[in-house]
Amino acid sequence: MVVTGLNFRYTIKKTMTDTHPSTHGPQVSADGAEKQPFLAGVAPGLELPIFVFAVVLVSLLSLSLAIVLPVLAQVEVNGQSHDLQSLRLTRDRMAAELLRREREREQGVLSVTDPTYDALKEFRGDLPSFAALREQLRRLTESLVPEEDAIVMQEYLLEPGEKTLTITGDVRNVGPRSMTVLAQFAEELGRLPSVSAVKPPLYRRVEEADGSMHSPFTIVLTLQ
Amino acid sequence: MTSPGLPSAPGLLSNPLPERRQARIHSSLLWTAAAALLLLAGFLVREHMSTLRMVQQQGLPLASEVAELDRRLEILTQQTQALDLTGDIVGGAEEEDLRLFVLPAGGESARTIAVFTAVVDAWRAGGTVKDVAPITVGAPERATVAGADPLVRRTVRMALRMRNENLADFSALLCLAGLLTVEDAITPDGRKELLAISETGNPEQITSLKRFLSTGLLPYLRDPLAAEERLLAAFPTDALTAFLRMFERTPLIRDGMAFARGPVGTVLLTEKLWPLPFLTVSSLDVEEEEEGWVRVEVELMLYGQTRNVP
Repeated sequence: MVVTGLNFRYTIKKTMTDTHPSTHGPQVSADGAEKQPFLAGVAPGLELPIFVFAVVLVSLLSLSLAIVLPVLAQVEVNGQSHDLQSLRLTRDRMAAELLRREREREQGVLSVTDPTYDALKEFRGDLPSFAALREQLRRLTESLVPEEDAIVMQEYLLEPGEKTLTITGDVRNVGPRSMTVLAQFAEELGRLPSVSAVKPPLYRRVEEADGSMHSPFTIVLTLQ
Repeated sequence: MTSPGLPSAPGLLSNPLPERRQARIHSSLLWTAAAALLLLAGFLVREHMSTLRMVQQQGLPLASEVAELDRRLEILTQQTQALDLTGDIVGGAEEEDLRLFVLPAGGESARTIAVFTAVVDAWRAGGTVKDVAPITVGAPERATVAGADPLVRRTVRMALRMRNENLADFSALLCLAGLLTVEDAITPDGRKELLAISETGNPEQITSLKRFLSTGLLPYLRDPLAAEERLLAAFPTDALTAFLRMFERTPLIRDGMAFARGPVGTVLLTEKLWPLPFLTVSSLDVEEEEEGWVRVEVELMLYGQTRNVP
């Protein structure tokens, strides 16, 4: 006979009316229906097999977690098995050892290991080659205006400590365009790869007695 | 005996209500326990899956990383052992050159004056210098450079007129002053690249790299092929060839080669004035003059050690 949850509850209800109330008896709700224990009456007869199944399943899984999984989770490196944690530790230890060995090799490969000498070389840095800078500037002036000797650079002052190159010169032979050419020149200087900043010159046009015009300049370049 | 008002014990036991209730409680407990166990089983299954996934996602990359670290450690061990064997053979001469000529005790200026005199004489022979003002050397003063032992420095000033074409040599001379060997002309990144190249092929050949790096810079600039061929024989790789070609194109080496092969480089070598003292440029003033001449005024700092380090 199949007993459903509904008629089971009905039986309980009926029994309640037959017996006297007791403090240890079943709890009755406000509408007179008996409160059932949690999950009671659900698929009666199956609870024990399911419970046994759950116990067996948990036992097997626990056993697997304790014994089988650590074996499955092993990673073999160079013939040695490691779990993840020990693999991480091995990696960190080897990385530290590698750094130490690299430093040792670098010290060994250098013929001079003098901290003062190294500090001095670092302090001096890469001295910009004055000849190369001057050549760059010459090429720029030649490409900027077709007139010969339009931009004349008369003096250079290289100060590596300040990383500056001060150029003193004059823009001439271009008539009233001298200030425009000077502005172009200052702009193009800023585009040179070895220049990081340009302090623009004072723009002025000087008219000589013979009517010729020119723009003397002083430009300060900050080098890379 | 039983009390008349109370049900007999058998009656109580045979009462269906407590039995059913007990059964219900029993059933309920079993269900609850089974549910809890199944939930636990679910967690355990998830734990299995996450562990296996972690092994797959992290374990395998970690394993390859460890294998690579192990391979490199083995190479580095071989290299350091090989370097230990040659450590006493190579390197002593350079240390001595540094102490005697590059950073002389007290910032001694005699060698600096000898260098500039030889350079000017070489130019004078070709008629490419004139109006050479006396070289002035200041008194030694204490200098502090971050990371360095206490130093002394002297201010050196000189002024002269030279042909335009000498400017490149003069500029190269100032850039090379104080550099001893090829290793001083290679940047730290370049050195790392060379060391990485040395790990390919036969790692024990690192001694050839050490010999290359300790080659005197001036002899290398005059004849780079000799040193480069020896290195390429030890590490015959395209990467090394490319590195050397790039190194030769750096401004310091390119300008240095022209300088070393010219009259100034030759005179420095024959007069045994290499290595040069360590100089820094405070200011270099160049004024263009007529007919390809320039007037040059330079202020330099000459560095030296405060004491002779044994």
